[in-house]
Amino acid sequence: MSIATSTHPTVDAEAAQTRGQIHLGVFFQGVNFSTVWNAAESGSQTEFESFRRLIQTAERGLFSAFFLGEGLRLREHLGAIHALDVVGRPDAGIQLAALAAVTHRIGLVATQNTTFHEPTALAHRLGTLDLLSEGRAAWNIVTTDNAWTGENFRRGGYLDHADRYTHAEYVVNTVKALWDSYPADAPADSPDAAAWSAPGTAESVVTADRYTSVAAVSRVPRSAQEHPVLFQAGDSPEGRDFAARNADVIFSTHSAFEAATDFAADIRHRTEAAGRPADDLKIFPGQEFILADTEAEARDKARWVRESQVTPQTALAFLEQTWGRSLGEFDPEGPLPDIPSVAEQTSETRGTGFHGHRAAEQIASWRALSEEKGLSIRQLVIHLTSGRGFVGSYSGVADELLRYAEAGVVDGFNVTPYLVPSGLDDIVNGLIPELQERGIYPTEYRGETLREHLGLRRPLTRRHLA
Amino acid sequence: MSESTRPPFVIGVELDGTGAHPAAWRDAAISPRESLSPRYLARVAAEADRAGFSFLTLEDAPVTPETAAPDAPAGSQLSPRPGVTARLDALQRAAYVAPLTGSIGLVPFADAVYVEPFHLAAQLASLDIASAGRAGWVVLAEEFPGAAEAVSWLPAAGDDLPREATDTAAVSRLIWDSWQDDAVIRSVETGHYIDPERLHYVRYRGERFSVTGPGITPRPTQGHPVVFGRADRVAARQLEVAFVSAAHPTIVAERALELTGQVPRVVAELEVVLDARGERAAARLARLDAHTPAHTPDHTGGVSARGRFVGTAAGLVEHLTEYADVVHGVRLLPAVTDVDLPEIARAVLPELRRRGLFRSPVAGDTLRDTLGLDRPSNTFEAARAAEPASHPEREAAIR
Repeated sequence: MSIATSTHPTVDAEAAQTRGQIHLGVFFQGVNFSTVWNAAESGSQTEFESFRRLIQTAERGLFSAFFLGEGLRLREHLGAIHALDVVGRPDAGIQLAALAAVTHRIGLVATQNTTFHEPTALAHRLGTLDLLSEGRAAWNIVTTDNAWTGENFRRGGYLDHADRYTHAEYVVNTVKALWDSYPADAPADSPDAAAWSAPGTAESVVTADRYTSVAAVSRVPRSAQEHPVLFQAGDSPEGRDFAARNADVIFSTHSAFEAATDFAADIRHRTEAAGRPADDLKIFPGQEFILADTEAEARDKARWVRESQVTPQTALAFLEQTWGRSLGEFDPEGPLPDIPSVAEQTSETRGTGFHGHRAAEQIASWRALSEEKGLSIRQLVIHLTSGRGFVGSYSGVADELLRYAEAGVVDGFNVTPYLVPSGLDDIVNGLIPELQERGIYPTEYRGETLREHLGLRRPLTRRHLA
Repeated sequence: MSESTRPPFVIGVELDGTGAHPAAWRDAAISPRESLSPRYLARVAAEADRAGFSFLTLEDAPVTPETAAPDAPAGSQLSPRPGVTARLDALQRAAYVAPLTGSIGLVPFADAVYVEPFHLAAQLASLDIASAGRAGWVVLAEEFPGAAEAVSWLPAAGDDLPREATDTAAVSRLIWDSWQDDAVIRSVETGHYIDPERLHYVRYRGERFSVTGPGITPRPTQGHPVVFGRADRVAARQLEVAFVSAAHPTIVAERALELTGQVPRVVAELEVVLDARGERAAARLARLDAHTPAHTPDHTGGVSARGRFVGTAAGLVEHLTEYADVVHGVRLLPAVTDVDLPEIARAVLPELRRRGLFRSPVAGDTLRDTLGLDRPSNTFEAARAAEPASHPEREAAIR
């Protein structure tokens, strides 16, 4: 069932037409400690029913896309498996195939890295998902050169860091070539046809780079959207250019209005430089939404969310990454540890995206901050991690999003729900009707495929075709 | 089978493509294009589920269907598909039908050679969890022309294939066991979502690949999805259900006897062509063969030819009754799914149930329940219980 169509009486239809639309995506199982697993309403992170409930809620709210993340080695902290956050996830290609059967229009996005998946396997499995979902599949392209992750795979840490993006681009191009290689007008559309496939087998695709060579025959026809939609998240200049050349949608962490504005200008410039129309690459920052009827209630809720996310143990673990040693003897509700770090560089929780800073400088700045504001360890960590997200009343946040839509600096937001499986209920029941009233949110799924719904053009390699 | 506590007799059905006969697509109700659609897949899987089959299988290969089995069934695990140039991933097809079916086991073929074992284990675990414990897999280990060139490592070849497939099956079990069933504890007191003591590094060092682990997916609902395959393709000790293929029930019986004590369950493969829609089975077969000659089963007793039943539904009931004396089940391969599956559902399974020879699974049954197989214990828990301090690098030799 879709959200009832409603038009705000003051919104001029034409203005609404030209006004940017905000799409929403949802990311299942947030990274690090974003998911609150210790509340009464926290459900299973494993059972299929949690996924079904969340994706069906998203579809009720006309979300564009449902994302599954990927982590191919369990994170470690100080040499042991990190135990404080949600651990364990399904294979994205399998889970999304199952979810395709219980949804009709929402996009299904599999995060898959280009280093430890074979190009032929990626083309086949993403192509399969695209046919099973009738044109709703997408690939969130991620790159890694992590030898530590490679210990779970045949080739180990085979990839030089410097070649991360060039190899990824080789893989993406090979996957596209495989998708394009299946003959048009095949298979036959009648059991009375002379042959199962009149043009016969696909041509073999032969490619090679420094690391990989492929000679493969595709066995998946294209779906109604021709190629799965390509998403990419890369924030370095190299990553942004990679997206500008290859992706349909780029994620970002730049959700604050000014940062989003700068990011959009930069991406549009790069997209044009890559020979594409400026609006060819859609922009979806990741964002958390904490909503309630009133601003004050939302602030209370946000406090509860932060305290649930940053448990005393998580607060210590956060600091331990910088101190490089166990801080178990310190009271998380007490002052910062008065000892120096053991490592020159921060010891990152492996498998996370934390970036290292020189530990001593980091610690000094945190000490200054906690002394100035009188913060305990846990209060400091909550303070450091609270900047993200929209917190407010339904109408207040809708007004904020209106600003983004009118400025055209984002095409959508990718929501990380802090609760599973009920984490989208507030957005779907409370925020989306407000957005629809302001004419900045879809009132129905546009077209049948994800590509149509997002308003994307044909895949880059097929645009020249009739 | 003569033991006093006789395991249940199971009946599976193959649902890949439009049927097992190489010309099946010409008699199908839908076009080749529609045969790849989710609607068709959902329809036949739901039909098999409603009919009460124990499990469904979905053939697959890492190359095009026409390349995979040019002269099957004599030399391949797969049905011949001349001219067929497309097929979707069987694991994902099984996942797609999981929420659309209630009790039938879901057993895709999965290549165990041209594959990353770590991904395969996660995929099978995910299928088992999404289907509430109805997953199995058929270990596929064949040397397909062109498959080696499609991957970035040098795959095993020739006689090494069964060893590679055995390694893949073995490491999959270790990856599934790398999470204890009770690993997720959600302790508010300690802040631990998982108990790290209940997760285990696999540290598998095989001849051709190694895996550090643990897996990324919690332990599957059944502990391990059920492992099906042929004992000449993968070591019998890894198999829980062995397929045997032979033209005559007497040869099937001999081969089943050879496997007794090595594999818990033996299931015979049988192609089926039934009288249907006012046409005799033999006439249907002749018409299909006129399009594309099917491999003729080797009636002289060749060991790898598949059996084939051509006749009435009542005749098939009698035939299966004979099989029930020599094997634990059958995997039926309808010549044309749209024609033979409804006949089996209408006139064969109900009669076998009436005679008490066969019991259909009910909602909530796992595939292990259906097969009468125990849920496997966890290797790492057992090792820890036996020798608390042990932490050996796992060598290929332990498998």
